[in-house]
Amino acid sequence: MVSQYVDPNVSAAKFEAEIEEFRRLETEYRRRGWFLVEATYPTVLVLMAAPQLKPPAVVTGVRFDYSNYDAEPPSVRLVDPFSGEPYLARELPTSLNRSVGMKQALALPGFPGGAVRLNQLQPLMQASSPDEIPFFCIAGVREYHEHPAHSGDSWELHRSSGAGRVVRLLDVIYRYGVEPIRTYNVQLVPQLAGFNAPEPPE
Amino acid sequence: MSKLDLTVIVNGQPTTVTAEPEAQLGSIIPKALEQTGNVGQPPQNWELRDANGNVLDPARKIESFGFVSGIAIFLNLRAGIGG
Repeated sequence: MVSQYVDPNVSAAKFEAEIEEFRRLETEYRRRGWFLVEATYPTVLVLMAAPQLKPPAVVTGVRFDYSNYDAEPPSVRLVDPFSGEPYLARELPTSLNRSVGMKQALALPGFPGGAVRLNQLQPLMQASSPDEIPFFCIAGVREYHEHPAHSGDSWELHRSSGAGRVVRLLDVIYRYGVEPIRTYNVQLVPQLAGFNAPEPPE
Repeated sequence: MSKLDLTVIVNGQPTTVTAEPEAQLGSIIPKALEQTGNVGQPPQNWELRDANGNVLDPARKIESFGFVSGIAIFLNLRAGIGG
């Protein structure tokens, strides 16, 4: 639990402004699969669904903590949509992979040049072990700015750009975690159960 | 051709920008950022999308998109460097 050191009226007013703006375009966001299910200062819970799938799927919940906003950026966690518990790294339904750098062409025998390419991915959800709660690693997120590796990129450099706004952060999660989903990933594991001899001789 | 009023949703905050149809779409970005007080990041760090989520090329002329006055387009800060 984060202690509130900013005047709570100030943070709450900014929080309410965020929610009011979300509500004004709520129909638009619902078309993308964003459902605002809780908005009580300092917490916002949004469920993100993938309407492009048939049948549609709820992909993840996103929980924000806007304590001390905007002296501090919000905390952002991907959470189980049903229990509200934050996902561990090994449980994440999406790692928010982004493609980085040039796609590297591989020269493999039997394939024409350039036909096989290695796509470098960078997950925006970062953790040092599978049993850790991962953090959303972009500027505008409290866990990013608190991380010692990002001490040179302080929140103050991003505060005035709206980097911590709820719609902006949802947009990034949507773009890398939900919008790229095309189909369900179905894995079938056939098992041998003996031989099939349907017509035994008389 | 008469000017167009475009509703630009900047990180969720709507603002109206009046634009010349012959101008490049990217020309509306600085104005939308200024009107909404988003001054911390340069225009090239922002991305325009339509209501269906399609990225809009800022170098194209506004008239080439066939926008009607009042249409809403979305301007969001890019993810930036993560990791």
